Amino acid sequence: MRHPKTFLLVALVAAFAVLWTGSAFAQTVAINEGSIQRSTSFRSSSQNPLWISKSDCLVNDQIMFPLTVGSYGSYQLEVWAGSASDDCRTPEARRGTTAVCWQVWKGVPTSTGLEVMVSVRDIVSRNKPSEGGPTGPGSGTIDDCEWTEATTAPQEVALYFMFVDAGSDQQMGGAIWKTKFDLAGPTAPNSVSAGIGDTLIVVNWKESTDTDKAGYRFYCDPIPGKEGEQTNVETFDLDASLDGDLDANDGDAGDAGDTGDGGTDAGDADTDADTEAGTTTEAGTDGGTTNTGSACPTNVLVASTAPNEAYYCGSGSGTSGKVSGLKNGVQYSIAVASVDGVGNVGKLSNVTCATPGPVDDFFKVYRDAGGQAGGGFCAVTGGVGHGAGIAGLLLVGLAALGSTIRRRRNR
Amino acid sequence: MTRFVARWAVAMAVLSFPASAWAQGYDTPDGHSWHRYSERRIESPQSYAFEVRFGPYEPLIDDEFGGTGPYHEVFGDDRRWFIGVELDYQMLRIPHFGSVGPGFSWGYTSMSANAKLTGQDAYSAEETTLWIMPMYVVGVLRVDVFANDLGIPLVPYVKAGLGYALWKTSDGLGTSTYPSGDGDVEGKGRSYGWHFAPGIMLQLDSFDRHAARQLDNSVGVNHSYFFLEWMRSELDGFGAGDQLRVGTSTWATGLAFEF
Repeated sequence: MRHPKTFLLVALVAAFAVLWTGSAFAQTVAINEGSIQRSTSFRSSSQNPLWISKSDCLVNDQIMFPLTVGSYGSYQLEVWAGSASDDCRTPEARRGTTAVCWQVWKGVPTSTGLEVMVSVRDIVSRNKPSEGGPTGPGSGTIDDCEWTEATTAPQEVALYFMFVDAGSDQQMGGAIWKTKFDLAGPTAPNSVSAGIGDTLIVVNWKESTDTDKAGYRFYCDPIPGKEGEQTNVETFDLDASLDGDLDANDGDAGDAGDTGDGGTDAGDADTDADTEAGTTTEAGTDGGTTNTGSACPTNVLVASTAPNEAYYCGSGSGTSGKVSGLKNGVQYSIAVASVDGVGNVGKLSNVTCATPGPVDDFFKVYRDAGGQAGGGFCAVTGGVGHGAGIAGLLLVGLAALGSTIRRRRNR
Repeated sequence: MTRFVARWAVAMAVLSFPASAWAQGYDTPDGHSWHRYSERRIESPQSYAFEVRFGPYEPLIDDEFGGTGPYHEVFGDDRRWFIGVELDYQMLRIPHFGSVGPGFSWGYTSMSANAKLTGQDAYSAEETTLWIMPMYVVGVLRVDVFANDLGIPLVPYVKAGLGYALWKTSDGLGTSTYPSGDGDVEGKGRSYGWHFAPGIMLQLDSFDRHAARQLDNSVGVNHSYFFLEWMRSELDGFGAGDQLRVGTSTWATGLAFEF
């Protein structure tokens, strides 16, 4: 070679040019995650606002991703979804009989700033080419919002935003965004029982074993405040469901029923009396707890079915909660459902019922006995020595304060 | 040496306290040394005492009703406990005797039970609760001559003064109320009266004088104690009839620190 140095220089320039042009024309996709929007309002930060719930699916929520793309040319931008373990960047994962990913959006950018709207139904549908049937954006339907698998755990899903070469089907540049969808509420708690109080019912249950649970919701029939609209229009024979021990206490229980706020508005008088008898008698023998199972008078609360949210009457956590704002003397049917971290409500537990009634709390017993105290921390009701006591306390306090100040001055 | 033996003998005679409690040796850089009470270490200034205390608490509410009343009817005989703290200012130090000064204490206790159904012996599922914040302002006399001058690690004391308590009762829906002609009366209030408490403290320094000195050098705690006290709070408003007598007559124990 006559001019090796010249050749080397040319080679270097050529290599640099190739590298430079290559990098300059590489397709890029960047997601501005801080500006992601939803067509419905976000849940609170404690409820995984970017996850997809069944409610999100039912209202056909759309997630808007603001993208910044580069060197897009005439390439098509595609958004593919896959499970966390699948890599949608390979053609085999997207096409043919081996496809494990499903397409949720596609389009050709016309500017570097781009807003991509992805339907949550398309994400949760999991319509893969390998499974036949409709695929691609818009193939998700409301039917896909019904979760049919055994697990109630959230499912992780990754969205691949990438340019795809139409000829080679190769992925060229992209970004990945991960979220979860959860379409099923957790399993119901067990052994739900109800105890009575004054215008309230204390609900106890054994925790659902579902790890996806975040709390519990109560459902009441009749709805508190709408006692006249109870659905239990059918009469029922509560006596048949109660054991013989209750019969011996019918008299006392009837008395208890008389002390209520006028009894139930639904059902006939005999049924009311028997119902209250059963409730209060069991309360007496079992720490104020009843558990009458399916004998409860309701047509809308059915165990192992989805609850009607119109009958929601409170929430709780742990293994106990309270439903307040009730009317004494009215029998309420109550069931509990678990709720998960995105607000999905599971199916109802067993239905229990109870009739609130007046109780004697300590203050009532004290005042009934003739006690005069009460009225507030600052209440002044007079009496011998009242002023002397307050004055004494002030004097001691002032003396201590004065002594401290004097001693500090002497130092 | 004769005086030393004599003092030990007096201590043994006066108090049936295990000899091992203060016949402990301790290690010094110069070797093992027996506790010599006359060898007073140089201490940081001492002006305060702080106590952390607990004990059973049964309010004297039923005294107003002749012994059996609403408290036992609702809460029964179960033992309830209180916790508290006390800060004393040792305003006056009497040489070779002890200290005198004011003290303030705050405590807390609560009790709950299922309320009975009205007109029945059966219990509901609704809880009724009474919480009490007993407090007092007292004069405190601590006689520490035995511990400081005689080598007997015991400090008897007495407290006397005014007691004051805030209390509140609640049911399943919040603060209890009772209907009256002027509207509902809220189930909360304050009670006051006198407070008296004698007790005795065991000085813990003698168990490990090296650690006691380190405690003083590092955080300024001169002495630490285990104490046992009987206390009576007669919170009846000095005879007023409108007080919920939430005072008590009980024993309390805990740890005390002088600094």
